[in-house]
Amino acid sequence: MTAVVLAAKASLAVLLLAAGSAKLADPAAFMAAVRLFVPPRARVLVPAGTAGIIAAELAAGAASLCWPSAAWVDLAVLALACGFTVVAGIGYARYRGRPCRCFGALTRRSFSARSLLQSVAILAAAVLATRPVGQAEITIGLTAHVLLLAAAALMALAAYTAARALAMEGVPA
Amino acid sequence: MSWAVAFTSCGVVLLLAAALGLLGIAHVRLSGQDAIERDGMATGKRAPAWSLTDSAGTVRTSPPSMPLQLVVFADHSLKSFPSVADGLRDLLTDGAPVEIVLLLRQPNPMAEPVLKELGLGAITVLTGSPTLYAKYNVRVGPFLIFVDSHGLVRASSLVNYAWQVAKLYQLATLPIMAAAR
Repeated sequence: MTAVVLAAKASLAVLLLAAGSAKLADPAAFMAAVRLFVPPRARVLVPAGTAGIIAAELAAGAASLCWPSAAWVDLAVLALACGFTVVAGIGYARYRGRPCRCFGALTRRSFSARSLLQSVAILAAAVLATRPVGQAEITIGLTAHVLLLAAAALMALAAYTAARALAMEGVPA
Repeated sequence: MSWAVAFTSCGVVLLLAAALGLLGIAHVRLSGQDAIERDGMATGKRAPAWSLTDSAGTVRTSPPSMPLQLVVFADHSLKSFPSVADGLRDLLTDGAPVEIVLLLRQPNPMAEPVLKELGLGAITVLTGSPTLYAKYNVRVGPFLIFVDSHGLVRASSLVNYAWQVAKLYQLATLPIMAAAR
């Protein structure tokens, strides 16, 4: 069971880092998607909200990789996954077919039954990741932290570069 | 092997695989037909400004002094597109008020002799750079971009046939003709 829980943690971390970096590459497009869920009176908060979501994804992804035994990180990831599922549900109900920009310009995904199912799958993985594993077993050392952070930075840079190139080219997302 | 080592190893492998995968996805999508169709510059956008010296030592500039400048993105391989060469020759023989320059991506000593062989000796050959090509957002040729004297793009397209050259010229001159009325 430990292997499954750790695999869920690692997969969610990679997913969050990729999503956050891709959104960072084209914040204006993501902001347009966020605006759909914000009432007109609160639109002034959209830029800050957009930045907050991106920062939360990147921070949660990096923390999940570096502190796999920390319960608070699992809870933060679970909270994000709950948010994604709620947004996917509302998007499916009210904005079906509109681009969700969940992964910036990297995907052609829009609000649909498929995206809702994917959000539910992410939520299930986040629930699984909250299952306790022996803290002593997965306490990682400084070298491993550095290695994981370096690989995470490389992956985030790749996601950012790919999403930026696609967004600049205007290839349909 | 402890879980910590397994987690670190698998995490690093997963991250590197994801990085390669994402770059691969972008590469495939940017090489696709959708992306190539979006090459070039939109009409009305400001074209890159440059000043280059041709083989005779004359300095050529963009924006041009003439009402229109046709920048041809190609090299000696233009001979593989005889219909495009016909279209360019038609523009030259019609006496169209357009300065035609062939912009090379890199130095190419074969370009000028080939143009002369094709009857396009009147076209100025300039040596650009991959950076300049990137500024025009051009990856494949033959690609034509019409630029007016204000430095604005009038028309832009990948071409394969003479009629496309003629149609593009027609489109490029439309706003100028409208303004002159």
